[in-house]
Amino acid sequence: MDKQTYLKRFSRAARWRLGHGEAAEVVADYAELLEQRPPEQDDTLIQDLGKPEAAARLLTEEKAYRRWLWSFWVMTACLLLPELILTGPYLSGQPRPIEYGVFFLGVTLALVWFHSGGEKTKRPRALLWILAAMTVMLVAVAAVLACLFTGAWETWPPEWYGLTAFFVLSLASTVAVAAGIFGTIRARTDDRRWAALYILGLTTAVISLQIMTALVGLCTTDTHWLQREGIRWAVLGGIGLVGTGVVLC
Amino acid sequence: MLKKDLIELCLLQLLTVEDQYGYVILSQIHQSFPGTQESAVYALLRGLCKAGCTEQYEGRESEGPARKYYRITAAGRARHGQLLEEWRRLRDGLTALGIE
Repeated sequence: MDKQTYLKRFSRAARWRLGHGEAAEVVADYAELLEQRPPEQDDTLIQDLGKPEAAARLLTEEKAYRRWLWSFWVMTACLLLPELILTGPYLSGQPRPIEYGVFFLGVTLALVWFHSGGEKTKRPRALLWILAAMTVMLVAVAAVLACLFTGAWETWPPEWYGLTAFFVLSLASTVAVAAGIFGTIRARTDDRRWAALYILGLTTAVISLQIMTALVGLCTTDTHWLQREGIRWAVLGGIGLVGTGVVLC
Repeated sequence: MLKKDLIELCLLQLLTVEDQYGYVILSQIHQSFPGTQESAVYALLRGLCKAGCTEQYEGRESEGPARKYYRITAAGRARHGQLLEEWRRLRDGLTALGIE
């Protein structure tokens, strides 16, 4: 293994285990140590320093790392739960308190772990592109649902309305969950502002579930359901967008 | 006294003589403890730094590149004295048992 590969692997492991700030210090130290090693000692790199992951493990404060792992799994569970309810056999016509619970728990954890550190660095370009792509996807989903709710697609068979809504919402939720998990990992290992993707993904997953729940429990005689439910979705969406903005700052 | 304490003693001992930069410290300790990987020594050095026994500063030798040097602090000297005392007790104990 050459020095660059070693440093890359060490850097990734250190950032995951130690978090961004402390990892930056130890990676800088390792970069200096590796730079000073004579090139003829490259063959004994692993023998002298140990595997990069093991080297990062030696620097880990177990208590702090366990705390991070717990938070990561809870945040991931908060993302997966709405997705499982939406795509699994657990969908009911009534919103459950747990859906609000996972939303607020996930957003709170993301804000606690990845709140602003006052850094003035540029936002990662890839993050902005992914956020833009997700926004386009959400607008498309909203447009499809609006057409379904208003009956604007006259040629679309009415018996397909439910299936179309389910397909569109499931797709949006699955993409959002994948983006959310990816964002959490990048927030830990790269730049904390990637957590914006987590909050946006969680918001999308929960609102998708809420919309599908409303459609399943829809009563044909209730003509004001959209206004009533719409307020609820707007509040959740507003909180999610504010959280996304806070993490991005 | 554990091996970890012995290595800590050696790290502090090196720094009581003069300030050193990371690579030199790790190489010297690795020579004395060939069975211990440099990453483990670095972890101990960082632990001493976090405990306030040593501190880092950026320095350079004439014409050389800037490097992170380590120096011992007052807390480090106290820890050094404590570890040295433990080592002497251990050595005397071993000598009393006929181990030399």
